[in-house]
Amino acid sequence: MKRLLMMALMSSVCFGNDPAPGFEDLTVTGQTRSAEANAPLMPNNGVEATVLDSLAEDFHGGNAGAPVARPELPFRPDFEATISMDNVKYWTRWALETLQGTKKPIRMIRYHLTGKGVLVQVVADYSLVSAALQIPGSGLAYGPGQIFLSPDQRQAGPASRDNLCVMVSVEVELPGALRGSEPAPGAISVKPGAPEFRVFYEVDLQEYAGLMAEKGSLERQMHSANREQHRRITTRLMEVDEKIGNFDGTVLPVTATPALFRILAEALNSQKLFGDKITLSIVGDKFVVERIDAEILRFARVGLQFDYAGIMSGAGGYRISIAGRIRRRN
Amino acid sequence: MPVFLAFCLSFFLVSTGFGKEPDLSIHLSRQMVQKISGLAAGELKHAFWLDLESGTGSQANLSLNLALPFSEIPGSIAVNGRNQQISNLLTPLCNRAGEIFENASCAADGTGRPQDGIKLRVRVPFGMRILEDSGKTLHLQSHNKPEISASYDADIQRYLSLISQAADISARIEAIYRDEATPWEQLRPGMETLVRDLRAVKALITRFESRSAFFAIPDAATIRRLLSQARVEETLRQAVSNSGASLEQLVLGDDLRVSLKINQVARVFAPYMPGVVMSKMEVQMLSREGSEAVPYLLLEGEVR
Repeated sequence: MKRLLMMALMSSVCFGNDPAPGFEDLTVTGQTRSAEANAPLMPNNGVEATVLDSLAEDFHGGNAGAPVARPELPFRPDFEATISMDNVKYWTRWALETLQGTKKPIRMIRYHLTGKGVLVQVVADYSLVSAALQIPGSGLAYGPGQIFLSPDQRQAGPASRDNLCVMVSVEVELPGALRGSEPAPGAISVKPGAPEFRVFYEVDLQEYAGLMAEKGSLERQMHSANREQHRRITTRLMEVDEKIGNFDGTVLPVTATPALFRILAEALNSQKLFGDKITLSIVGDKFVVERIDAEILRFARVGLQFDYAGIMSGAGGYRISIAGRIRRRN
Repeated sequence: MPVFLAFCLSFFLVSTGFGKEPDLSIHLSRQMVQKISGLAAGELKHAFWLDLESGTGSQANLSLNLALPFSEIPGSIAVNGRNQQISNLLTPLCNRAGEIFENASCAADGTGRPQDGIKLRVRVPFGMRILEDSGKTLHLQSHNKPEISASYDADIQRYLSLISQAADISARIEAIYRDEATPWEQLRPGMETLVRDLRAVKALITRFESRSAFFAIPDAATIRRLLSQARVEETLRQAVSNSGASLEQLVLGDDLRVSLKINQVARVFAPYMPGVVMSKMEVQMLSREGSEAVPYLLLEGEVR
């Protein structure tokens, strides 16, 4: 009976002819289920597309050519799935919707899917972390908006610490395999990288968000553009790419301190950003993404065991590949 | 009678050159200016390149970028009046060559030290005034102080190679846009591949530029010593002469202003304009609908 119930739960989560975004490659076979029935799989299902959708989209480079398959596993997985950028962008959307318009110290959380894992970016008010993070010099050497230019072109601005934001970025590396391990339900062990710090004005964050939104919009328009529109879109896209690239490339030579992480952790936890959906926390001097995805959690909750989590690349961009077995309970 | 008058008027206009369109008009993008200046340097193309930063009309903001071998620079330099060991001052941003182009940036931990394979980058910003006889003489007068930083030689070489690739892909994209004889739907797949390639290349270029911050402004004596020890004048003279032009003057004033005069600069562009005598050179800020203005170097000439 238990086994039957488990299988029913699993099929209600996994199976479908028209799967939710990010689950197009689900390869478990079995009964079919409608897209409506899969609705709970879709983060923020029913929320209208907004600029946040665009902001959550991103181009992560990589990946022209044939898709890279996951390595052969030393067992026959009972289920496997790939989670595309479409899914990851919803994580950003969750965070943005939660934070939009608030005056709380955490201003934005953004996710990227990269070749190694997931890049998590947390933007906080400078005043929140000022005690633990000293900007070299008396302030920024350039004024608002200059961060989007290359360093050669930036004009010196008034040294200021007013209306500043700090972005902390950590690339969380997904393990290539979790063979032999049995992660606790809802948790995938991950390996955080060295954090990077960027400091900029609050208006720069707004422009950055606007540029990301514009980039997504231009990329979508490009596919149906005629010759002249295509030329115009390409020109503008290059400019937007360059501005975003200059922003992303401006990293402060600052070393993370435990105090900084403690402050950020307290802010993140007190804002209860994600509820049950995603838990981003900080333990000691490391970022830990305890729950990579609510949907992965669903697998775990119905008794599935993760045996593999890795990154694949293909024509559509990077994807997280997961595979595992039905947990056998003694 | 009116026909005769019209004939006379048109003859007059043609004979005086009034309203005459140039035989050839070329807009060179920033990447193309960098590429041509690198090619003009021939074998020494990694020694310097010109960067078109902004400008309009006869005024242009260019920078002359020099990449000097570490072994040819002095052991100490004066910065802000203090003498400092160059090995303590000039550390590359990244610990290893190649890291500067990676997705995650290389946070400086100060462990990188100048050694073989690292070059000193000197950026001399110029406000360029293009003279009336611009086809013959180019007079560059710096309006800002030279800045220095350190980069791995391999990274500089890759950067210049990427600049060259970007210029080539851009040229191919422009050629496809101009190909109105072929239906757009046939061209679109190839175009999308090219645009993806160009974006990937430009992303790497932007990474290098945004992470290669110049952080030190040496004093005049140091700059003079650097230019002398690195044989910049000889290098420039040789590179310029490879293209058929000649360096008439390179002067560094005590106020750190650099004056550079190149004769027969039109010859630098001659391989790109065969049989053409350049008649005009200016910088234009061009924008297409929905895009911001960016600088282009305009060259016009007559076919002889």
